[in-house]
Amino acid sequence: MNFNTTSSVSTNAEFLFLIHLQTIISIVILIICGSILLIVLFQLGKEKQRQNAKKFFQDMFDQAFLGMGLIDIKGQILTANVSFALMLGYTAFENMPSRDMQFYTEKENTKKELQDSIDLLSNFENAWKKGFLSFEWALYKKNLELIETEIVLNRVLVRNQVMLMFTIGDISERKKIEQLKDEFIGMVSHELRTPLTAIKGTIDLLFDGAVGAVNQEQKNMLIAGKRNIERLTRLINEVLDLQKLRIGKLEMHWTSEDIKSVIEEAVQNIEAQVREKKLNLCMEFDENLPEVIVMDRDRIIQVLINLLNNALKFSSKGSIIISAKSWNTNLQVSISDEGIGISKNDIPKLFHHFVQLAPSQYRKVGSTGLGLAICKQLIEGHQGKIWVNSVLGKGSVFTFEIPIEQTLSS
Amino acid sequence: MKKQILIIDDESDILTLTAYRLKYEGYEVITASECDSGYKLAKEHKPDLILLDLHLPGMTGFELCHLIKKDNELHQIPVIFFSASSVGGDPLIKIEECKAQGYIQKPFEVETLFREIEKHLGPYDKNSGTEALK
Repeated sequence: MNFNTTSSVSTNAEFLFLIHLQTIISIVILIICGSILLIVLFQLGKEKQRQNAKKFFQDMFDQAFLGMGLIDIKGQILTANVSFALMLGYTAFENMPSRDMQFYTEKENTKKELQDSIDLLSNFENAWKKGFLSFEWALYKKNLELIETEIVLNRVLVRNQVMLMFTIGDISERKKIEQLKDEFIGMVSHELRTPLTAIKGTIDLLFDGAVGAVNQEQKNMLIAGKRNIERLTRLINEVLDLQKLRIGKLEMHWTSEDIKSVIEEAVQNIEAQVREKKLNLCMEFDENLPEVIVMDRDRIIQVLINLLNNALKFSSKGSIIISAKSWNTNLQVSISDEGIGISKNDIPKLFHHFVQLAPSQYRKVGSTGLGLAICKQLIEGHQGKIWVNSVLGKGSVFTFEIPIEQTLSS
Repeated sequence: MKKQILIIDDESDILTLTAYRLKYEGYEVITASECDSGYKLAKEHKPDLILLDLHLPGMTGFELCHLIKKDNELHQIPVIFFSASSVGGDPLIKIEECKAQGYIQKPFEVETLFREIEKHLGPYDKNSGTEALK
């Protein structure tokens, strides 16, 4: 009986134990399943997050206003956004017929004013070397229409690989507007120069006595007319020059020139005014000046006349000295005066457009404020530089340097 | 014998003034205000030099210059452009292209004009010019 009781108790206990075990196992399984589920869900969430982030960047990339992408040094496009494809008339990068950027352009861009570089690949090489390059380049659309673009390349590191990132903007519209503006400026200056030619012709004829004798008083009045025609002509020419320099249309005509004769020609231009103002003008030439230097003669004369005119304008006494010498590998030309000079603060502003120092004081001398900006660009066109040393009240020395390394043996 | 210059310019004031100036300096001058009549005058008179504006109604100065330089009777006549324009690229390149002998930018100094003319016709005789006017 006792046994039985014991046995019955032990069976009960076993049963209970089994139930507990089952429960525990179930709970454990549940926990494990739950955890796995949680982990899976978590991973799925993470993946979704990753995908979301990827989509976020892809959307951003595709919808950027500019065409963007990655390209290697050989001009092979690795990836590009939808905007790039759309810009060239395709629906997506995947649908574009070639991965080679050169496919969409001429190897050598024939539009000379667009850029100086020789070919597209050399631009990629330069960008690779320098890390950054921006240039203008014409590209063909799917329908063979040519669009003008501005391409910016910068070297980037993507997944430990060096490549170039490009952004391309369609600037055809801007170019059209610029062209209209250029044409307008050209037209306006033509329309201004034509009547000026007639006015100048009339005054010159009168002044030279070609239509009858003129007395001194009449001559003085005609001189005022002549002076103001010159002033207006200079303004028009300077605006046009600056315009041409800005759009890179001012072409240099390189010839081998004797610097002495160039300086003498410039001096001839202002001799009369020097005499009129009772100033001294002398030329100093270094003995070892090279015989000839490759330059754009007319442009160097223009620079010289401009500097000489400035010296004249701002001097009422003393001498103007124009000197030329060889300095290292350069030709150095200086024009010094004993005029009013320039204050230290004003010197850095001098070579910028439309800057005339203390206008109220200087306006009476009749200058546009463009002359030195043009001189700077013309000298830079010769791979040279221009600068000034000046003491207020004592005078100024303007100096420019151009390389003589292209000196031709005569 | 006096040298004869043909001026072609559609701006009548400039035409009159330049003609007057050149006559005053001793040249014989004939004028036209557009290319067709200018070309006819050139064929008829065979002037010693042609002073040619760039922008003319109808045919442009460049086109007329090409025509003159292709003409067996006229191709040796020096052509000097004078223009107020500087639009449309560098004019010097176009001038070389159509084999013209020079370019004067308007407004010009009379000395520049004489220098260009004398380059091709030799020194002028001012006295005979003034006399010719009287």
